[in-house]
Amino acid sequence: MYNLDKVIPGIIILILFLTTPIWLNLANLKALPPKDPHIGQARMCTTCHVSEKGPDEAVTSEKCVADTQYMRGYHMKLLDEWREKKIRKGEVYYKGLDGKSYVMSLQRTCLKCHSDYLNFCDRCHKFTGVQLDCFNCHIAGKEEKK
Amino acid sequence: MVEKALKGGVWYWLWLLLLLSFIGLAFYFWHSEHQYGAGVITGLHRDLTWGFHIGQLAFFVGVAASAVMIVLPYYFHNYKEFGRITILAEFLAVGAVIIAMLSVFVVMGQPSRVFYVLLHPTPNSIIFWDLVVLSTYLFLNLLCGWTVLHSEYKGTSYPSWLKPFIYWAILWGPSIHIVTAFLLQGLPGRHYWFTAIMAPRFLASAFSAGPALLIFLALLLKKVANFNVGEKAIQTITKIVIYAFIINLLFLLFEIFTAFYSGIHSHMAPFLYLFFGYEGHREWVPVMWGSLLLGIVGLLILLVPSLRRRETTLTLGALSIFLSVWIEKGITLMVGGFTPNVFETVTPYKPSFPEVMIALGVWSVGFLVVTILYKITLSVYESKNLAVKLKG
Amino acid sequence: MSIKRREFLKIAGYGLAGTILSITGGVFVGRGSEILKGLERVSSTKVKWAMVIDSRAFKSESDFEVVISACHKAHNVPDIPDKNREVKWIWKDTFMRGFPSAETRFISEDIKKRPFLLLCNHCDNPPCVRVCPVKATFKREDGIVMQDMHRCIGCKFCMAGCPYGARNYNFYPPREYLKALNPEFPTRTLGVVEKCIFCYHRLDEGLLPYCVEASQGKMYFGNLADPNSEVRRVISENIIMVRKPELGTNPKVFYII
Repeated sequence: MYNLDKVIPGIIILILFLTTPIWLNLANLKALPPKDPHIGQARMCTTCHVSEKGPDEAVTSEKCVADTQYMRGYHMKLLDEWREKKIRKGEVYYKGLDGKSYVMSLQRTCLKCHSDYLNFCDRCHKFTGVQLDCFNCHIAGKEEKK
Repeated sequence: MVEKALKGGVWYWLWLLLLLSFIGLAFYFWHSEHQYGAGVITGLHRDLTWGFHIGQLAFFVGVAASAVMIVLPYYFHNYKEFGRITILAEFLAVGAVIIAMLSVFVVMGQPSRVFYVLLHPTPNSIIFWDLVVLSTYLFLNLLCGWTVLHSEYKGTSYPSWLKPFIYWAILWGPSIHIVTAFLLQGLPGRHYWFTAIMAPRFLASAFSAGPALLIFLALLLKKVANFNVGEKAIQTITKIVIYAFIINLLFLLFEIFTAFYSGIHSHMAPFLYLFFGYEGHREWVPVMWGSLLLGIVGLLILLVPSLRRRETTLTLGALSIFLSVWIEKGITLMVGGFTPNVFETVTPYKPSFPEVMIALGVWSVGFLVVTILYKITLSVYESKNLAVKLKG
Repeated sequence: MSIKRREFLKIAGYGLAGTILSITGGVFVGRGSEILKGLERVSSTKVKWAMVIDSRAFKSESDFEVVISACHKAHNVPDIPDKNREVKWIWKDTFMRGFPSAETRFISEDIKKRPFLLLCNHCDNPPCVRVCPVKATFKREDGIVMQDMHRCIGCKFCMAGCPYGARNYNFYPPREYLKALNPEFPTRTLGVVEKCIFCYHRLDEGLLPYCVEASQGKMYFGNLADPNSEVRRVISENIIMVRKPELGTNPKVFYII
């Protein structure tokens, strides 16, 4: 092979470049899950959802439109479905787990209980690195995002 | 063949560097538009939402479409003189389509959602069709130009499977411009655009401005790269420019006749605003007359046989016509369409500095592509000439 | 019998082409019947919302102010000082600007100077819907021309299409121009187009639009498809104008002169 002295370093630089996220993450200790202010230990995103004295009373009072397990995994799907139904199909109500009808509205239904944006949405989303753009428009309540 | 783009002189690299720095600058302004808002960065407003950039779309789609005026005689009528310039025309079309598509992209308020156009295809919207025809045309010209050049490189004639694509591209050229005219001419309440002659006039102005640019580029290449497309080819193209531009001027007269003889005020208003001023607003009057004057001077130069045979005057004439159409289609077409506004009053528009810089960056992307493709073309022909000489 | 490779490829090619054709053909046929079904649905619609504004009843500055601020406060419409790039869902303008194609040379000074409330006309034949490349703006079955701000790509084609100047592009970050936020309704973001949505969210829950409610009887709202509705009665009993009827957009906001 010709030009080995150029090709090999080139490949190495390319690999280093492509793996930058890994190196940056290793260098950055902030990537650890944030500490739960109530329990004082670092836990995964489950902190805000299941802790006994968690920041969100909505979860403990079991009044959500769907069960916690489903919401934890698929809340984005549900919100997307709501958006489609409410805005494009003109439907208004969603039948919740408890058989009651809820108005399909992020601000008027979800955020009424889940009002602590920083601890409820932001913490896990920051940790998982999934950027939210919901609140570019929707108003997150008292705890406005920066 | 691509490797030929990597070997060039100092001027070649400096030129690429200049284009790249324009692109970088444009990216900076475009990015800050999405941070601070179009109100801070552009001159657009409520009553004129499509400005300088969409004007560039209209103009450069025309430049792209005009390749058909060179491609058609060469492939369809076997007009051999166009052999060399056909590849140049096809590659110029590639660059022009890229400029056109990027010009639409930069005006989008939510660029990350651009693929919704494909995710939610909407056949009743002309933008959807414009995207379809433009991307097809881009593909066709790249395919045809590249394949023909590659055959040239290998010293064979182009493969027969290419024929259908060539004919497809010939049909597609006018289509892209007709569809772009349809963007504007079907809108209720925009009197300046609301005319069936919009599409034919687009074609006429395109078939004069596009080949005029090609003449300029060909003469430039002759000067700086010693690449001659042939005197006869250039003279034929000049005649195409003359006829197309005369038709364009006639169409303008037809428009003015219809508006002013009918006496319908709303149809006259945009012409009044552009040529004489309206309600005390005269922002674009000198520009409009300047465009007309340039066009007439350019036409007169090209009409005189002794002038169009001399290269300096030919360049001057071609550039005048190119500029004339660029002003008319690239700027005042949009201004006239939106002024007077829907309330029949005037809200003046002036492209802002960042807006023009973004456009400059968009042009640079197109010309970067054209430069690289031309570089490859020139190198292929050069090595062929060399081979002939060596054998000779 | 053995076939040569070349022939096999040929046959396979035809087969493939045929399959692709029939699939795309099927899609189009399918879409066609869907569209027809859609047409049927529209023609049998029972509801077609419309608004009638009694321009005679709006006299003082505060008559307008109450209505406009009711809408703008509820919908978090920003108050942008740059008048050429502001956002407004319902606003006050003159007769001459609102009805530029009307005969105005010899009409009474009263009408010539009378201010009018202008808003999206929720056209029955809306050009904005026709031109939108992503269906971000679309006509609901009850005739409301909706705007899906999640879908909008900000191309501003609808603003070129709208002959009434009813559409607003967010030229400035809207939150910076809002003094108070209504937590019940979202704001918008930079680079999307917004407009009056006929308070679809309130209609769906059985309430009247904010502006109609705040006008205290100066505006009527109801079902145009129902011959016995109040809007139909008011329209038939008064002298009515719509904006730019010559464009064939069929506006559903009517003005009593």
